[in-house]
Amino acid sequence: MIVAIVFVVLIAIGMPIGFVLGAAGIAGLIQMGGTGFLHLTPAKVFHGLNIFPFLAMPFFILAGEIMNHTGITARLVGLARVLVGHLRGGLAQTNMVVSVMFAGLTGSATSDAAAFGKTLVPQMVRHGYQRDYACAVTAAGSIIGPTIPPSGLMVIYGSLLNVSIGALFAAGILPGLVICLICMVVIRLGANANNLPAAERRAALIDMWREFKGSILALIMPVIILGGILGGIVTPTEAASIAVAYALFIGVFVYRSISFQDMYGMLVRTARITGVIFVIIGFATILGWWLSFNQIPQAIATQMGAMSDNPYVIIAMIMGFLLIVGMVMDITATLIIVAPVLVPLTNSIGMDPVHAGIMIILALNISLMTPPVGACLFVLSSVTGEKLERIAMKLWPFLLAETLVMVLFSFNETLALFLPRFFGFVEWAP
Amino acid sequence: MQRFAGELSRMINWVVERVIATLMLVLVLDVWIGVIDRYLFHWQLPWPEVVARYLMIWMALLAISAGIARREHIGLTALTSRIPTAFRRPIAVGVECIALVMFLAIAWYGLDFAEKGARKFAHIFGMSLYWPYMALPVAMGIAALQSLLTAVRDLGDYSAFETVEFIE
Repeated sequence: MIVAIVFVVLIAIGMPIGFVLGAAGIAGLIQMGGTGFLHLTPAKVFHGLNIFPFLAMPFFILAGEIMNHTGITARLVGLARVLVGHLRGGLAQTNMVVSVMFAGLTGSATSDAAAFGKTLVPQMVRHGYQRDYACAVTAAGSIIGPTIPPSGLMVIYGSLLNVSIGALFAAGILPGLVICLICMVVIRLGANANNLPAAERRAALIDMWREFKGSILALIMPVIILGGILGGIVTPTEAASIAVAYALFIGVFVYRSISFQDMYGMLVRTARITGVIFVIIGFATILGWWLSFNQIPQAIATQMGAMSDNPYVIIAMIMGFLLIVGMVMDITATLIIVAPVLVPLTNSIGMDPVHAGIMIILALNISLMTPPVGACLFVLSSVTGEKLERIAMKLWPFLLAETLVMVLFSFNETLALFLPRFFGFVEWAP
Repeated sequence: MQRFAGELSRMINWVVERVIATLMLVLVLDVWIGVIDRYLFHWQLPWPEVVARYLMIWMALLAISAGIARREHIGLTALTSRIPTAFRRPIAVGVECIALVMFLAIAWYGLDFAEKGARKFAHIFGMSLYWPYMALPVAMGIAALQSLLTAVRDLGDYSAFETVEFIE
């Protein structure tokens, strides 16, 4: 009870979530036996981070930083625009398509939201879109980033629960693409209500070829990452390090846009972003140990299991639980604390851990854009100056559509595991 | 006093950021060596994976203090932003004091942890675990110091701190 109070109070008074996890964990240890258990804290943090696959995260961040620096955003926007710019609300559709392309380069929704908030949103506003709508489209598209691999959340889930990261990466591709398609449909259906600009002229084939040529070097990177991992040739960490080498090669030798000073800035930013993520992981390990020592995950799983033995009801409860928790808590922290609680429950109803993982990750990604603490909303609000509430008002059709995608993939194992099975990570159902 | 704390925070962070950038660079080179070894030369080097893990831990833990200095660790502000400034500032200072105590506690017990590490050895190439384990007391100590300095620098008024002015 004391731990819960400490946790809630510290969150409420604005303490960074990583620090809250550490403080609540320490409070739990003190409650157990005064200062006698505090000697465990450094070991828990150290061993919580001493996991080789975690290296993939800083490498994917660095590869994304380098690619961003080469001006690849503008090239990808150009390509997406010649492909879908002729549809009604062409720039909004472009936003969605470029989110998919970007998703293969970075694994973070907030970095996608920040990048597009600075580039695409002003461009959309100049072309007659309302700013709150442009932000809502960007927020909706940004969660494609951590759904389509590479994805930091998948690395964490796979590492902590001993599930193949390659299988999770494979499982993320289809929902990411479906989210893109369904959001494009939502844009088209809401075109009149949002007074979207008329369609542009369809691009000529020669323009398409020119834009494709300009972007091809960026588009190869996801192929290298995914091809290597899904083909079983390299581990995710190795693939991430190769992605860094590739991005560096084209940044330095092809685009010639990276100086030594730029490189230093990218290394520091990567390290700092890693620090922000790893403090959450490391300190969550303290709280996680306290929870499991007191058998709280088992108690929660038993409680949830006792409410119903119907697998569909349990899946629905888990989705609802994650969406609610994700509304008020950082998703990395939620994943680390909650996944070890939920996976035994999903195992008990015969759900494959890869299927459970993709459901959990989809739910947490969707919570990135739900008020009051949806990180993507915050980023877009601060980058564009638009009010958070106004973005949220325009966002709900997308939120509903993406929740439907989550429901579809959570209840349909065949669909959710199609690609992991296709690539040989999961056995085909008999 | 505020100015002195801000200047000291900036100077310490200047050093820390150069160290974490170097660690990140060495980390990249180390993993590249591991990949080249595995797929091209087959030297079967025992150390790239182990060294990579320890470099990552040192880098990430040291980077926590850089995040504190630049206020990049984000908390929920939906509630605190609704209360008057007169109350908000002491709360913000209180949050930093709690963080300071937490970091100091982990740093203190981290010293003992590192001492024990001196008697343990990495499985593969027999390195003492003293230096990997020292990441905890060193990084948490610097994080505690930055928490103190940023608390004094801003006195709970985050708007006074401009990231742009915090020269890299």
